[in-house]
Amino acid sequence: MKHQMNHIQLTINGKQIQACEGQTVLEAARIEGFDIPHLCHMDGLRPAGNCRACVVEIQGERTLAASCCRAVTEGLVVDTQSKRATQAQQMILNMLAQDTSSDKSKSVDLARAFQAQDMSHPAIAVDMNACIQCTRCIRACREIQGNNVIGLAYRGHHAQIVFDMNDSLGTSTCVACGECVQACPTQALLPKLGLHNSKAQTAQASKTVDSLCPYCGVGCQATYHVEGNRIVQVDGRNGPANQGRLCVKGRFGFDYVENKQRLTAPWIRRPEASKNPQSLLTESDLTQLFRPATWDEALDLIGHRLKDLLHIHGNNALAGFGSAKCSNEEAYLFQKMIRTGFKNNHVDHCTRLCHASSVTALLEGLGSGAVSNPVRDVEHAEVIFLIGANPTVNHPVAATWIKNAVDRGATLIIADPRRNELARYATEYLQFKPDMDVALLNALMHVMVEEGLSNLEFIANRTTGFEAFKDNLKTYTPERMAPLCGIPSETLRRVARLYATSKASMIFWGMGVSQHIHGTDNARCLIAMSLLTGQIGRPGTGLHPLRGQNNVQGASDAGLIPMMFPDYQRVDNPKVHDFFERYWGSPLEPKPGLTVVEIMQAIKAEAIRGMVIMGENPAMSDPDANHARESLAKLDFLVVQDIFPTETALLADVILPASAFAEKTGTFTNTDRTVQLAQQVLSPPGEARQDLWIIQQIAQAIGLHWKEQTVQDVYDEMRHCMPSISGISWQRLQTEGAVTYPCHSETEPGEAVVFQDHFPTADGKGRFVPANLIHADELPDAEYPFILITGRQLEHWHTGSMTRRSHILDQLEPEPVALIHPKDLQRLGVQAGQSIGLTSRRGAINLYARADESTPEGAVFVAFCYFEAAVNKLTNSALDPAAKIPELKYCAVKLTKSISKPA
Amino acid sequence: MSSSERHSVIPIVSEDAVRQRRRQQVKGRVVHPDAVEQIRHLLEDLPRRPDLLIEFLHRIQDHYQQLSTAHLAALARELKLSQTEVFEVASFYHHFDVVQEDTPENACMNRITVRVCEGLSCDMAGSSLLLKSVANRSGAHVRVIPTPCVGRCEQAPVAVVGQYPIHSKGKVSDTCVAVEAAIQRGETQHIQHPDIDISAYLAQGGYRLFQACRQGDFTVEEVIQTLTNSGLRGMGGAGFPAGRKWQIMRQQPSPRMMAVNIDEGEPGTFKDRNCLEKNPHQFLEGMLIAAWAVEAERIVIYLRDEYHGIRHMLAHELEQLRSMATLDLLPAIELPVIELPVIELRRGAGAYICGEESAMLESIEGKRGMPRLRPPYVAERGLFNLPTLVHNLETLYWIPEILGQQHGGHTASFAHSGRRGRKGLRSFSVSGRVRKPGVHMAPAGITLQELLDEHCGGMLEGQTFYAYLPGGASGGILPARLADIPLDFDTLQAYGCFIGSAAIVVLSDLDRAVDAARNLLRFFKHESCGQCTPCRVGTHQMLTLIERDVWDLPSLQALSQVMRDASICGLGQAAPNPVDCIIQYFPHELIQSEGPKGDAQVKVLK
Repeated sequence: MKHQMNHIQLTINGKQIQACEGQTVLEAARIEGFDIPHLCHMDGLRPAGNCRACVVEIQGERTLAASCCRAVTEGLVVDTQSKRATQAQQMILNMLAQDTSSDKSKSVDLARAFQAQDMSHPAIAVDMNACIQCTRCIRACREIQGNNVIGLAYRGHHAQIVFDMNDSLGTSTCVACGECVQACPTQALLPKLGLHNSKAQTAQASKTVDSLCPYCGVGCQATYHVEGNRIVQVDGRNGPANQGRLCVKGRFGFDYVENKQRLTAPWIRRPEASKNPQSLLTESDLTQLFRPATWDEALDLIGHRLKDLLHIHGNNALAGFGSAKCSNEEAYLFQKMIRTGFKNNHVDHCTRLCHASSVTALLEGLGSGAVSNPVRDVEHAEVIFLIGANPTVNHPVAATWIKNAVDRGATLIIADPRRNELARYATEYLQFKPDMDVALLNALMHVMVEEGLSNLEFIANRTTGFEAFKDNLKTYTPERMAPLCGIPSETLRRVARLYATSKASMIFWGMGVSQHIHGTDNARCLIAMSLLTGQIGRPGTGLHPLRGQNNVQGASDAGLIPMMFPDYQRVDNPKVHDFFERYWGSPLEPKPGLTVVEIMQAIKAEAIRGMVIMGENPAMSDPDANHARESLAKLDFLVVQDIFPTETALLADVILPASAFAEKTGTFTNTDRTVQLAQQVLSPPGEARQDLWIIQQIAQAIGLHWKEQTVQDVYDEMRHCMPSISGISWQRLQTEGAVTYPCHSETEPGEAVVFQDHFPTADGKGRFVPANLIHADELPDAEYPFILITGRQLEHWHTGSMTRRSHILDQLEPEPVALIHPKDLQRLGVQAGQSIGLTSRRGAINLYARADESTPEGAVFVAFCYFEAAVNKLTNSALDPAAKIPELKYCAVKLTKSISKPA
Repeated sequence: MSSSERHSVIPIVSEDAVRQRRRQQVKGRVVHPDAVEQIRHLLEDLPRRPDLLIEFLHRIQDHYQQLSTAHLAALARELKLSQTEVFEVASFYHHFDVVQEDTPENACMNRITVRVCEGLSCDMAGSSLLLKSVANRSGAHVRVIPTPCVGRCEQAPVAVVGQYPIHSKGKVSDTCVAVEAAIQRGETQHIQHPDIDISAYLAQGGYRLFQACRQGDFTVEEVIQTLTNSGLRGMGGAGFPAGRKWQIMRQQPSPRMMAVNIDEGEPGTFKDRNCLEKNPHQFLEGMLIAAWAVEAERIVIYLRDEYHGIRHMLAHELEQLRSMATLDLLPAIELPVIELPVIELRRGAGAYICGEESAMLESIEGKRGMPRLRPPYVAERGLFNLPTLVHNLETLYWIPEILGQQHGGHTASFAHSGRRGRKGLRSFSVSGRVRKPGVHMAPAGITLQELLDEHCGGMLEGQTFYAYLPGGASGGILPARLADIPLDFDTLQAYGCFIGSAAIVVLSDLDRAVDAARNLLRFFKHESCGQCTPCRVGTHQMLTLIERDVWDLPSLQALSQVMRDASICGLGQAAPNPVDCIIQYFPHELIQSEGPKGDAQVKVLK
């Protein structure tokens, strides 16, 4: 808590009052109902005391004092309403009004010089004539978001808010998080979309709805301002994960819901339209390939075709992909439909492509697949170890907490072949060679063991398998590993000491760790590092794989994975199997199902004949996408349920128009294991329907006799088969908005930090699993000399189906680019901005070459959001043997000058 | 301003341009590898500490005569700062010339800058004429710009060629010729030697007191008592008793810091420069004694950038002191090698506000010189948030003398000086229309008339005494009829004035108080840091109002009140002093007349 409970007696306006130590005079006066004008003060920002509108008279002091900055002290006698104080307050407001006045009828020479408006940025309009230099935007940009784009430049009367070095906002390093817009008390910074409605009008939007951001796993809470059936503005809400913060996607990327490409009716493939996986699919294909249909007709067709396939080809003929973008209820009901209606466990979703290896290693080592500590635990960390993750791009609000922690004094260590924005904050930045994670991590652990930095008590009491693990480390000396991973041994030793000896060290990782054929081994090393040093089970320590999608945690929890029923209960565990057969009143397959990539292979092998895909876009997201598209085209019958005609949808037999995030109510579980309630903001357009309704209709059509269920009904059903969330009632979610699991009773607050005294394994102990160095499946060679690293970029989400249809986000990043080190560009004879060809053994794309020093030489980085340059056509579908995750982060490519545009 | 200007907008750049930019590069300005190399070369050995930012900027400015955004971006990269963090500091200080991409490359390279002082004393001596003459007679490679007081008021009018000040007393034409000669010779550096260097100082028994302190000849309590008895107060202007300051410091937790304020920027003030030119080691010994008394681990000396010659000299003398200490050549009575505290000499960059102690600390930390809000006071949370002893140079300069008098058996002149019940000596910096301008050591409590008669040789030939500034630009303006007020701390409050740094500027019948007030308000507006509304907007509005022919007295009075009451620091609080003094003491320069609508108005007498 900010305020200690020591009470302080003071007098405000003649009234004896009691305030808390640490409170300001402004806060204390406000509680007593005394209003003091203020402009530069904003709750949540560091007080600055520069506008002086809140000055008050304090007995015994020569000058007036800014009440926003003055802490209460014993015996203080304050007058906020004296003539002297109120005259000063009023005078300040007048002076600011004159300073910013454009009214020529008044004393125009008292106003400061006029500045041009800056409309160069797609999202934010700047009019510094309205600026009162309160610096709220600066504090928001720098101290809250840690972006350090906005500054106060020049001096005195010429002092001015600037972006970078007085650059236009559009050409600056601004990442458009919009925190400044939210903080600005005047019209100086405005969202461009809402420009026609001023801030005052926005406040009068016909309604506001409290909900969540639809994008990443951080789980920011947001408030939507709605006019009619349109979102006009989004503000950050005070949620546990974001405290009012948002990023560019959450704040400005909401208009995809009204994109004209939205599917508003069911579509059925024309009998004459063949499925061509090779042709580039465009929007106009929709009407050429499909005809609109009624829901009855579409559902009828789906029921008949699926039942036929099941009847002819048996219980393994059908499969389903759910989505980590859908709610817990939708994920739960979808997997229940597959398991009870398709009569197998062939259900999976994109978790297979992101953190399957992390989850596998965590379940194996610690007995639980989720994070041990929430992101915001960095507040308590002394050392933060970040590897294979780029949070400023992929988890921007989580990155702000890390930056805040560094500002507070925490030490940040980053290990990543690509230098990300956080590297500027890092004490140690290890730009190690791609693919060398195990070499790096084993070397660090070797030092910890060799230098006696391991926590022997923790190892003895809380772990098993240490001796074998220790033996395995012997050969991994930092001196031997240094040339392999490209990091000097002395640096390795220094980093090992930092991590091991701090009071609290916390590990974060992302897909740079997980998307390798040795992804599980990589994660095993990180788990071992925390066990070795006892850096787990306490605040500010532990393991945090940053989850990607807004509900990838929840979808996995709800059983949208082939080997587990809800709550990670294995399908091949007879006790569990019996329970679910009884709970769902249906016979169930006891054998684990196929994973994402295995399903694609099974289609090729004609084992799987029909699929239902809800909200996923494997034609873009799966590795070796040409192959994936061939598989999808080969299906006898494919149903796609989505909001846009995605690359996958265009290979379907029936497309069902679904609802966007803002158009439905449901629960979502973020990377911190916090279950949060999203409320419906809009109604779906045209004939589009909520996904929960669609799943129930398909279930009905294939002969499942389910009774109609509301979202709450489904949640209640889930809760009673998922012990982890048994204490989180629908009622609680409605009143509290967010509750963290495990939470076993309605009176418990939920456990944010787990593993405090035991691990949820059979023996209660954590398990060391040794890992050895293996190389990527496809190494660069003379023909394909570059390493291709894939990932995401700030403005675009995953396959781009939402964000590239968001006006602002698409303006910010309109075209496909390959990030290449300037020196490599020079060697290739390619100018930055020119078209370049990327070719692997599996496919080829054209895109623009962007000079980027953060990409290591010899590597190229491409985001997978561009349909016109779908980089997954190039990636390798080789799998990690334990987790079946494909090696999306590493394959060999060649780069060639190209004259073709991306297409 | 035309209406088209009012509606001008930085347009949405054509979509093609945006697209091309996004294809080519990541967000923001690209950092050029060549620029990074150049910066690394210039910074060479220096540790990449962000608090040294201003020192780094000086290196670049000195080398390239400008700060290009390309170099600033490279510097930001090198220091792991964001570009705006570097830019906002660079653009704050007047001595840095920030050059954006759209100006021709190397616009400032090989260019000589001549700064013509516009301080009040120089203004009265004809600086506007000097500015015009120099500008007219210089080639394209010379940039002539006005600059606020450079602290050489006794030599008015003053110009500075590069870093070389022109010493020609009196006539504008002489100064102009000397400037031309310096440009011709390419003389842009200033080399100075102290009257008393370290060997001379040691020869006269210097550093014995410091050694005696270290040896335990006196206790800290005794030293503090001596200072308290002597009545030594802070000579920067605030007049806080030095002994009490040390006592407060000693109650603070360790580690403790010390900062010495030689940002002598108050127009009319040049006493600290005078002390340094005469006897820098007397100051350094005082500084070491103070650091010893409060157990400060690190001392930062903050010197105004205008004193280039002093900087080189002080750096040299400090080097001498350090080597003497390590070679055990100081008058060690019984003690072996001395471990001096870390002493850093830091350079201002042209900002009056950095004479405000907390703004100075910000500047030492490599930031914009913006005063901090108090509490907490710098003694509790100062440099890098550590308890910090801040002294003006002159305060420290007196310490060896006071201790020497007390303990060495000399006649105790400081403690026993003073008139009209006041105690101590004051270094008056006197400039303006007097026969003998310069630093005059005189007893506290002396009146202006006595100072004029006894020390300054009276008024210049043929001029009559009209008015005076008792405490530089901030201390107000008093008329000749009030020339018998004792000059000291606390004696001028009743008159709405203060002595501050004891900078006396004398006006004659050739001058008008209104003109002086306009000069001073121009100065305050120019030097306001811009942090708080009353000062940033207030200095601008007050100057605008007093530059009009017709004065709006109610508005001026309301502005004055809010600036005094609500400004964060002394700059904004004291800025209205000249205007208030005009209204109170020089009503004869304003006349009541009838406005166009028959309303009463106040006009400035032409």
